[in-house]
Amino acid sequence: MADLDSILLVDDHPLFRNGLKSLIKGAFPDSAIREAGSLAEAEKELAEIDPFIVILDITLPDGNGISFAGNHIRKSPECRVFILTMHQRSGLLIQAREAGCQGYFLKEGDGSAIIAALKSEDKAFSVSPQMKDHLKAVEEYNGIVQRYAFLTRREKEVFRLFAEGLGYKEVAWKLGISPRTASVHRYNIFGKLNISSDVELVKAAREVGLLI
Amino acid sequence: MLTISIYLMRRWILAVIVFILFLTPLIYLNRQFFKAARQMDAIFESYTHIAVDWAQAEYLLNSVYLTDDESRDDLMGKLYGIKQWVTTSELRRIAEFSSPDQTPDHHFKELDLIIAGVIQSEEGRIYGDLTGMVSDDIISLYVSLKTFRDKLDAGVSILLQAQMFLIFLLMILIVIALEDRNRQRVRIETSQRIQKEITRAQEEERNRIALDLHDDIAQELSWMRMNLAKENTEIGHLEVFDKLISRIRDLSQSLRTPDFTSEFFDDAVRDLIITVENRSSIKVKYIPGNKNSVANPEIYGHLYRVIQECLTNAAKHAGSCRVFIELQEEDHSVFFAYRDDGRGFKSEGEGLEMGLGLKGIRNRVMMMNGKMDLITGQGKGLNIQCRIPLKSDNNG
Repeated sequence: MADLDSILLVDDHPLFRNGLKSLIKGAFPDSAIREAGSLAEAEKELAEIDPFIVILDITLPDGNGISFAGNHIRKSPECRVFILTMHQRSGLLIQAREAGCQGYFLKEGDGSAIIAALKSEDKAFSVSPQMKDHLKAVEEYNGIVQRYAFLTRREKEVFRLFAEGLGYKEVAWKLGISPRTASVHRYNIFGKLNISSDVELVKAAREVGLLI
Repeated sequence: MLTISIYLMRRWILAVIVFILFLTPLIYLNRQFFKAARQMDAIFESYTHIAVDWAQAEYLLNSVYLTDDESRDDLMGKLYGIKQWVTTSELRRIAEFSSPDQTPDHHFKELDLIIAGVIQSEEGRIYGDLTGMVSDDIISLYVSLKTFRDKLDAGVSILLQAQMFLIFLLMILIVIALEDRNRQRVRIETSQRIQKEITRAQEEERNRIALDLHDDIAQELSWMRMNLAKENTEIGHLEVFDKLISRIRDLSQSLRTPDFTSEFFDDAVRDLIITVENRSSIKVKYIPGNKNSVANPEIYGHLYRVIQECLTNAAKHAGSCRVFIELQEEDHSVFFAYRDDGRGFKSEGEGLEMGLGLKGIRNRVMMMNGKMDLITGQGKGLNIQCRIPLKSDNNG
């Protein structure tokens, strides 16, 4: 069981760590706050204590904070790990979320966003205000949009024409292929996108962004 | 480069013109000359027969047995044969050509006299002078025939030499053109390699600056920002700080080329789009396609920059508009499509003149041995299509 009064900060910038420490001290006056400047030091700290919150930077002198977070979360699933970084990158955001982190925050502003997230009992993945667009974009990129990526160029063309409401013959005529080939393309598209009707096809096209 | 290719093209056209203008009539002439030479050989052969005939005829004319019917018929046949032969148009032309002042008709007048004499059955020996003259004519005919044949042979040999010379000239032209093309290819390859090196060095430098900005300056600033908040600083100062940090972050992002051996292309592009959308009034729809950016980090690095140029361009010049970007790998190539419904411009040339960043895009596509098509028009938006071959294809 995690200690409900210890918090671990991992960041290689001592001054920033100090500032963050006093900030958290203000929010959690009863907690014992431990610090580490590298992953090796963090490892050492974790051998002694079992914090209920870990705040991690990504770029550390001896490795990547996110993979460290993943390992730690696997060992103690109770622990809430937050990423606090300079990197405004959705790739890292996805990695952090997949590793099981609780939040992804940028080193920006007065730190009130991360404090609010630390205090919140909400188990949902939280991000700093400047990462909201990134999270939205990442969330949009799933389902149909992700499956659409696996269509071939020809299939995409056929898909667009069908979405515009053309029939087999028109599509075949426009692309210079036989109606039979067009219907084969259509069958493959339905399979790849996991849809089964024209209505779903138009809906998918709208989701992907081909139709407005 | 265009000038060089026009220059080269001219050389090829020149070679073709030389071939058509000179060699074709020469070949025609050649055929005519060989035909003439063959005819000439035939005429010489018939001349030999005629000379023998005349020798026999002369013997008969000078003999005492001319009254003999049989030998007279024989003689008449030979004489008519000779007469017919010397008046053929070919022979006349040849004789006129070699010695214009003496025509065969004129010379062989004596032959007519002889024939008339024989018909009137006059006794032998009266032909003495006449036969001598005909003999002379036969001999002079040989001379004129020989002169003509010599001239013909000389003509043929000149013709052959001219042909050899022209073929030689043509070959030299071809060799020069090929050499030039080769040299030009080497030049282009070298300049491309240099440009690649420069781009790589630039990218390294930019990445270094981005790293400094991001990991050093922004880090310090955000620490200061955090401390400032505690000390009840004036609100305006805080805003400036926040703006500064976010500006540095944007700057660092725009300078840096992501390392696609470890980052996903779509993620990087999405970040780029979010930044551009926040800074301008364009709306970007990125439609990701099947791709493997990890296998070709260099090419995807270029493509990332191409997308960046396109977006910067749209934000600056296109006005408020919607942008669609599609990218997909297929058949060992990457297909990239960009289209917007912005202002557009009259033509690609105008776009290049206006410094719309098209040059950078085109250069990068060329560096990757890719093909780029651009469609635009005043108020018609901009449409760019690229096809870039992947490494495995380049190396054969």
